Amino acid sequence: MVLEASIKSTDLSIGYEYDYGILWVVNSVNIVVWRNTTYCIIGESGCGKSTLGNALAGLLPTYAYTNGYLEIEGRTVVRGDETNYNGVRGRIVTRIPQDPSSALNPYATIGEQLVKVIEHHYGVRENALEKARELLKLVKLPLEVIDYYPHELSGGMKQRAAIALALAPMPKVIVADEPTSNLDAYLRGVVASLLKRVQRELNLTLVFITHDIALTSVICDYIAVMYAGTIVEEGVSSKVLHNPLHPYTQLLFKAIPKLGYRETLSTIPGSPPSPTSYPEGCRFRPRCPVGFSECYKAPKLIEVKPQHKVSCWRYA
Amino acid sequence: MGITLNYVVRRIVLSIAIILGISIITYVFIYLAPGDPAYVWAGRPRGPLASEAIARARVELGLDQPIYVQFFLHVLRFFSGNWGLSIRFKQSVFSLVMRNFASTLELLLVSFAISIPIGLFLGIHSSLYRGSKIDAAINSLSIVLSNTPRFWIGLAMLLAFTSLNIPTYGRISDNFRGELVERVGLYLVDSLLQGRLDIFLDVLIRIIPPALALSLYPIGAIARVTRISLSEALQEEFVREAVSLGLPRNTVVYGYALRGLIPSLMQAIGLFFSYSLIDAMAVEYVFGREGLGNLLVKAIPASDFPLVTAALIIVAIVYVVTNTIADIVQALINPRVTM
Amino acid sequence: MDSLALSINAWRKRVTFRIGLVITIAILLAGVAGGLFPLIYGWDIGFRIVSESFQPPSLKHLFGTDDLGRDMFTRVLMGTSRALVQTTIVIVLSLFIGLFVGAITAYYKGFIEKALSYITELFLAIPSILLALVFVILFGRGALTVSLALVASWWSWYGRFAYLQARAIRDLDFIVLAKHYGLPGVYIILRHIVPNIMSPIFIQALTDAGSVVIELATINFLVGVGTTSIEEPDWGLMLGYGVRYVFNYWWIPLLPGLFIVLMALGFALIGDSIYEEMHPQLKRRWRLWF
Repeated sequence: MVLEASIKSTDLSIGYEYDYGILWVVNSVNIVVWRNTTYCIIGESGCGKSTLGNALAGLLPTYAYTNGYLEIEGRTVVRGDETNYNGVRGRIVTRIPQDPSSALNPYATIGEQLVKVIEHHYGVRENALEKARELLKLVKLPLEVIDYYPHELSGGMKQRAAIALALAPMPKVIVADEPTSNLDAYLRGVVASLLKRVQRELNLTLVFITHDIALTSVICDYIAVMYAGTIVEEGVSSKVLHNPLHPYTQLLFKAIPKLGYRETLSTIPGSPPSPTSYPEGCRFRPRCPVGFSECYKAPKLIEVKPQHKVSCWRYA
Repeated sequence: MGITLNYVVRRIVLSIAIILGISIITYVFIYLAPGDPAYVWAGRPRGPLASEAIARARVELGLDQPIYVQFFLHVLRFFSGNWGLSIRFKQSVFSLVMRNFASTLELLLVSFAISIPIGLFLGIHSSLYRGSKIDAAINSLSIVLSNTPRFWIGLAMLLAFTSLNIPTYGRISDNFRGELVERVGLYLVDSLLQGRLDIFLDVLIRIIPPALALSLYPIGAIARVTRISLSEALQEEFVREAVSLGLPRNTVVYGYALRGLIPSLMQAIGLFFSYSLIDAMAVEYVFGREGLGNLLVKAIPASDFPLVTAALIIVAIVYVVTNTIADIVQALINPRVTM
Repeated sequence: MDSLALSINAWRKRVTFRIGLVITIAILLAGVAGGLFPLIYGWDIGFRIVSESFQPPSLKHLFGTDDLGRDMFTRVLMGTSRALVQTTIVIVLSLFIGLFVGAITAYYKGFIEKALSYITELFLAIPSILLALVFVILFGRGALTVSLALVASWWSWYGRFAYLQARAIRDLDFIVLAKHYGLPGVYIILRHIVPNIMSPIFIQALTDAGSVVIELATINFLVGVGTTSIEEPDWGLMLGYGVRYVFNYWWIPLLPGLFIVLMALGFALIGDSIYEEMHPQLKRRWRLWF
């Protein structure tokens, strides 16, 4: 199988204006997401992964600043400070929201919302209703949900409805921004495997953003680890999960409880830096247990093993 | 939809309770005022007939009876449409108010027909382009508009139009006054019903300047409310979701963000409507139109207590009615609200 | 948020704030001048006949003279201090009443909450100008009477605002715990609730000052049109009384209105700038989002 790039970013930076200038929340991110794969972005909250997800889905707020390039399915959507997502949003990339209860339009039934989206993208009313039913079947929702208002559904059903809605325009890329964080542990697995199944069946590219590392092993083909606005490690999921290279990734994985084991959990000393005061050089330096003098310079993300990149001076 | 009979009944009871409360307050005022309540109710009469008028007021207020009976009588009189006798005009207040209300209402309706579209347009565009020069300009404009006294602008307009020889003083030209047959009470409608285009045009030309002066406040206020609430609504998650699904701009703005705002906007517009009722009275006087304003202005120097009270209650009723309508629309639009 | 920092930010970034401040300071100066006039020129300045009646605006009489030959500009300046005092009375008293009624309404759940919120709603429904007119008919048209008349219904805005704010915080731990420790209700309302709901209401009041100016002017206008003579140097009264001269001597009803506009605008611009500073989602840079 030849891998084709679906998403490609070159030195992508995203920032917000604040009282004393621009706050760069995402810094010089270079990623390539291959078609028909699942790409996970993991990291602590506040590391910029949601902002990156918003950039992919075309949902950056109006006041965001951008830099670098971002291509989605061959269309340049970000070039420098200009963004143009026309014809990309919906048609090519959609998003699965973090909180479906606020993301579904409270004033319309699920069916109306689905039909509206399908009609806008593909026209023809009778087919639209038929298509809406198919979508509900695909996400395993009972058909009568079509006449329900969002507030009449349970949390898991809302998330399924939101997934159906995201699939309605028949996109090629789906960005799922922590779709499971509002669900309980059991539903998390169910929704994640639903997403995986849908991704396979419909040949989609799925970008899965999460802080729940346990889930990634289930569904991801590739994993990127973000820290303080930069990607510190990226690679095929099995390699990253079983042989993490970056000290941050190693510490992060040690901090996760494993079912059936009674080992002491370690914590990462210190706390993640805020975007107003990123340390110079490697941003993990102040918390890094193995840092040395070289770390005062900024490391680059380089391929140290096949299909496994890391940004750390110890491997340079 | 979500409206039950129970809700409607509760709302009506609340409306009546509010109007009742207002009549209590006015009644309390009569007692608080310095001097004999009967003397106050009679409009502080002087001259040979004064003692007779005071005696009549005493009977009318029931001052010889215990206070709760007095109040009960007062409420009873109020709801039977007996709002007392106007001191200034020596006529029943109820019929006076009813006769003049149509003119004021006509002016208000025209002014809101002007200001709602303009206000919404300005507010929506200011919100869509927020932070830009357009937004700053619209926002400053709406602040200036809503902070200018309407009667003052009205005066300036009257002067300007008169010096241009455009007839704006009065509600209808004296030549047509005899010819118009009043059916609805709104001259614009009446003249059309009669099929007289010339009268219609005359009435229209005379109503537009005062309506414009009146619409300044609602334009500014509606623009401001729309701008703030739409800016908030555009940040809502379900609006972002609609954007992410690639729905076109107009669908997102009008079908998603604005739709949920309709009830609160209606409520705000209802509020501005009842404010404008008082502005309308002042502007009406400036332009020499008959109506509640003219009535009121003449009532004040005569200490015409019953008439002013009646005007107060009319405005309060308008407030309550618009609020109720807004609530019912809220229930119709928002499936989460059951009443 | 710190109101001083807000104001400094507003000053730094907003032209409207600067314009508003300049206008307000100018109005304050005019008010001070109007207040000092009687001290310097004697108590009857403003009531004194200085020239022939109906003189058009000139260098000698900036705003012309009225029907009795009194200098309009002097009277308008004296009206400024009168309006400033009246507005301050209305805003301060309404704030005071509204804050406490709102806090009490939210604090005592049950019957007191129901009753007080009904009363607040009732006063919201009452048109303030008309209530004030009833007041004026009963108690006369003195400056203090008119202000108090407006307070009688104006407080309800802050009452409801404070109630909504207080209702949002009344179930927070620091209040529930204080109740649990047996602290008296008055203490909790004064020390815990009121300080925590004050600042947005203060901003609102600042913005409202402009509307108060206009409401006061409207009341006096409606009173003024019916009277046969006016003594008080009051803007609204002067306008209302002057309407009868609009076609022949336009300056009598029109020029005093400039001051009403300026004063209302000054307050509104300042209040609005601070409001925008407090709601950053309204001010960020714009770019075509979708």
